[in-house]
Amino acid sequence: MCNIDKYNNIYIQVFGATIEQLNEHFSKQNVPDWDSVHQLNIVSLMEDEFNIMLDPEDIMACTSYIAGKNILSKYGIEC
Amino acid sequence: MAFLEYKHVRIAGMASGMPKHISSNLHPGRKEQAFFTEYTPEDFVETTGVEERRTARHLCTSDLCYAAAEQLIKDLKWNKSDIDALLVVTQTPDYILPATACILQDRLGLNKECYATDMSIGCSGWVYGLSAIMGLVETGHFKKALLMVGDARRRAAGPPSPLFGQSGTVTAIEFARRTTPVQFHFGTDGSGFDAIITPDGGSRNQFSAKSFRQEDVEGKMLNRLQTRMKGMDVFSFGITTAPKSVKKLAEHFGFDYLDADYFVFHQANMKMNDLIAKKLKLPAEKVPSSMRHFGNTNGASIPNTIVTQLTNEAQNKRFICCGFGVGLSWGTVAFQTDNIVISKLVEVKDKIATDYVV
Repeated sequence: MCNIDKYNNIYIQVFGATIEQLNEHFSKQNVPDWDSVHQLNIVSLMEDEFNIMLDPEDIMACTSYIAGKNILSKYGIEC
Repeated sequence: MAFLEYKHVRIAGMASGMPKHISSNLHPGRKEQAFFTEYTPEDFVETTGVEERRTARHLCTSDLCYAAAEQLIKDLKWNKSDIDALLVVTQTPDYILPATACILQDRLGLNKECYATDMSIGCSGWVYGLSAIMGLVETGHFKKALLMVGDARRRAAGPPSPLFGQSGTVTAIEFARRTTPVQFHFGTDGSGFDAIITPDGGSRNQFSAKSFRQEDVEGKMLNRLQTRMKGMDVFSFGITTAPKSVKKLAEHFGFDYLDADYFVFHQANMKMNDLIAKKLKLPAEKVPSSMRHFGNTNGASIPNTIVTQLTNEAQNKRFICCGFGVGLSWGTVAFQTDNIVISKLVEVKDKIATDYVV
């Protein structure tokens, strides 16, 4: 499975989102279910899927679909 | 560098007192339904790992600590007159004044020549309290002492949170000429003081009628006497700070943390603890959890986990325990048990201790 599929699957798993919904608007501001517990689930799955350990500031900053991609990029993972 | 080591003190025993009543999160009562607007009860249980917890309407912290202490003193066959010190760690004292430790000195019938005081700190409380009382006993002037950590009633009425359980624990500490060292690491980051906070009722924001006004806090309606939390700040803090503290302790004192038999972390929620264990590469069987049946019991969650999950398995074992939370504050301790007495869970009936009501 390629990186983008792995990444998208995280949001499908956590929010039950569809691929069409995963765009620049998919964020904490626009997704009512996006609370701290869901964010923790996203972070946890990102760490598992890509075998990384995120820094605290990255965990905090992971507040949108796009932000998550940018964070992964910092760890050398392009989606 | 906040490291401590004691070489002449041991943990003699532990006990835990909890209300007899079990509140189920899968079948919440009428008042508790208010908390299940964001999540269904099933989703809440899956997310937090808290299926049920112990609650009471009338019991205070001292009631639960008292019950646990009476049982442990009996099991240890200690003479009450030999107990030199009593430290209570709580966020929910019976009264704003006096210290709950003073009430417990009298209620337990301890000697009046007894050092007794309270400490106000949260989920790192058992580790901080242990270091403080062990420091007193390490001197050799005090031979036997009790550390009580617990939280019971909330400071203000409101729907009970399905995450938190009530309890009162006691840890018995004894002077010992020869024993394995007890080692600590501590940390504090007060810049996160408002990550978990009860805004009103102290001197900064005095209690007033406005304290009862409901306000929107991250989508939840809370009054200003209820504790609020910046969830993501706290999660991020917990899952990064706890593993670092364990590693720092091991590095400073020159041992391999993976050699420990058990790792007992503050029982914040299941997801956080799974992540902490994963970051430290710990096998699940070394990381006991009491959250499912007792919830988050604040500073008492570490001793509660040992008492309820390791009652018969705690003998001659090496432990690493880490508490973290409000402050922000964290502390990690490594110790070896040796002839430790663990009392069975004491279940306390929900009634008012009328002798201590004003």
